[in-house]
Amino acid sequence: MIWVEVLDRRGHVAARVRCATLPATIGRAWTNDVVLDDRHVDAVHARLVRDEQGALALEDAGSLNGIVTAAGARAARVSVAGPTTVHLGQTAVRLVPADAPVGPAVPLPPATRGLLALVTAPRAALLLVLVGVAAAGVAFWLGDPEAEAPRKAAGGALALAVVVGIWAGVWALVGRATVQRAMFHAHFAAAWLTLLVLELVGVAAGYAGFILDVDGLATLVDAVAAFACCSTLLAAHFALATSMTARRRAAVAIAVVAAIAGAVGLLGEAARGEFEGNDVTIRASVRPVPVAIVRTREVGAFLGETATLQREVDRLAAEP
Amino acid sequence: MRWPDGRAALALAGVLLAAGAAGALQRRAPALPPNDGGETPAVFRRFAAQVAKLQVVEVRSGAKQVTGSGFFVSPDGLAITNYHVVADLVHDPDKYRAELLGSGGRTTPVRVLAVDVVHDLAVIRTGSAPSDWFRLAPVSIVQGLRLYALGHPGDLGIAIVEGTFNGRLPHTLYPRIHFTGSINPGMSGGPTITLDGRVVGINVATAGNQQSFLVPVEDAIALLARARGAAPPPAESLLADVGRQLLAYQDIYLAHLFADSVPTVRLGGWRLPTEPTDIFNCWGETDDGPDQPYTITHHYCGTGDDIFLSSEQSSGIIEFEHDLVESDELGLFRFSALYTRELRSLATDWGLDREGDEDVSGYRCRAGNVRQGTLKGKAVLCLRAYKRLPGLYDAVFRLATLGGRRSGVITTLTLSGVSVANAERVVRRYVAAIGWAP
Repeated sequence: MIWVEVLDRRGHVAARVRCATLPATIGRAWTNDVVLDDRHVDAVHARLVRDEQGALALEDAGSLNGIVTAAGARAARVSVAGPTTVHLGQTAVRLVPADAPVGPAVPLPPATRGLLALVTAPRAALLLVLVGVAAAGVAFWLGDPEAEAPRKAAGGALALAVVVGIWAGVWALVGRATVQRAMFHAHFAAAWLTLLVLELVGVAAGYAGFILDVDGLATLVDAVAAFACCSTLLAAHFALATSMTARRRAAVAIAVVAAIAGAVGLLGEAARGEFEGNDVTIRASVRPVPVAIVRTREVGAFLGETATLQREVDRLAAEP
Repeated sequence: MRWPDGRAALALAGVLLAAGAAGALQRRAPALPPNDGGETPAVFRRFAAQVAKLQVVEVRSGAKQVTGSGFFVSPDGLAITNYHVVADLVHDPDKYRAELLGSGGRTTPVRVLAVDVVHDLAVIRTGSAPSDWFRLAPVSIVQGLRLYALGHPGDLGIAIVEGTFNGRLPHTLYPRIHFTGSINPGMSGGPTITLDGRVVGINVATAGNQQSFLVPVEDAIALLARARGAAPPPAESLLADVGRQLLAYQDIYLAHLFADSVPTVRLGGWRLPTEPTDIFNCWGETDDGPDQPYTITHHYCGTGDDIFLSSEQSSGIIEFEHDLVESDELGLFRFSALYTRELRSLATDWGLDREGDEDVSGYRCRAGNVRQGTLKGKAVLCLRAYKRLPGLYDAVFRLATLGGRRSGVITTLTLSGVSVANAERVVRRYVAAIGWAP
């Protein structure tokens, strides 16, 4: 007994036919045991036979285009000792003896849990995207005191959605190519979830830094959060689009983000070396909270710490 | 103001007059020959030879960088000019040299003996032995008196400009005489004299439209007394002297700034300093476009003076500005965003005339929440250091009042070319003058 598998262009099995008695024929005519819908295939194109020694073989039945082996050579007869792929016309056909061994069963992938389950669930993913886009619009609007803020906020949120969509689309293509699943919605939702978390952490750090009067707290927290969130997002994309193990996903994600952070740091360092001319960069901000809960110090105490700033600019001035 | 230092070469014009004739002119008005065109030609004939053309040459290119004028004040060739004419030489003695242009294009090297950066004066040794020179002495004249400015504008040869004395400027940090006459670029450092040849002031700046400014002769007398008999100092000591003069002078003019009872203006319930002394001029405007959901009211005060350090850098600026930010339309969060944006928006277009890092470091800032009495605010202090003049800094202090849901004041004090100690002292007094007065 032998199985004949008709493969599609990607090499996937499009049809599988069992030939219990031999000889069996393969061709375009309806009288064949295996019928191929290919105009480059003859009515009776090839014949599956078992010789006197009991070996299986595929013989050309006098076809126009013949049998083409996997190596690209035309052959009148092809021995089928194990799974063998040949081309008949433009159709790939795999011949598998019934006694061909199969590999062991692969365990089922573990069920996605936590945030990955959240972004892979279509409804939750849709909700995340909607919340993300709305939050971006609101954030743009709240940060813009000009009259045209609503229009600009809507445009900004839309533009961000397009950028995130392209990002998710690229990952979906990677997933489709490597593990045959696109999961666009999951990639899209994961990216929006990351943006949401980053925004919320940034807002919280901004308020905390202002209330506690810690100069630079927001910048530090933003940097740490950006590193953690970007690593997590990248690991999530790997989980959805590759077959990497969890440990490998985490390692690669952290390495990639660290490399990007390093490059950004180097660029920043190079920019810091450039002379700013008359430009003054102030990073301070104020937040709308009751002034009673804001930590303050006497003006004199604030000015008393000018020596640190003085040392910093003296050091800059001494640089060649 | 702009500095009337020219960038064009001129040959030294005129011939030196006899010493006796000039001496006589110090004592009485000249007797004018008939039909010679009046007094101005006579003044020109008698004093033009005592005015020289100077140029600062870039050594590498061998071409002039700055031209100006100077005038002889001693028989051994000492001359007075403006500091800003020779400033590049003081800052970069290896890069520049100064020379005096004599008749026929003959040049004589010039050494700088002493400078007064605050009043914009320099005493130079020219190596020439003039047959006559100006005798400097204090003058007392009345407003409206006709004066004559002499100098070398551009490449046009020596010129004489008639004008009138209009007293000392009432609102200026550094003493200046208001001369109504057209001093032009290149005439910097030349003398402005009376009919009988008494020097009233030294040409220094112009605001166009015949508004010109002179350094009073008294400052030149003081500098000349200091320089007379002195050997040419090493170049680095001149620059160090510039730094010392800036520090010494600021100790005087900053000592009482905001110290006594400071006039205040009310903005949005806040009491804020305005016109602390008569050297400050204050201006205001309101930014309230028709579709703009907020209003920003500006109140600016400044001295309008600065000190020329080099062709790339100026100093001595004192200014402060209050911005009252208000909005009834924006909610709490959007007003906060507006307030933060205004707090961060700081444009300085002073102090440095080009993008270069030879003169100053970049700015660095510190921020913190501060309180003083009932006042609570977000304070920012920014500094940058002068590279060639250790101990001097440009300082910007900014304070945004906190607590207003729909309004707040962001006030900014700028002090350029100050020590950190002086900056701290002035900022403390400045903040003390701010208060809530609904």
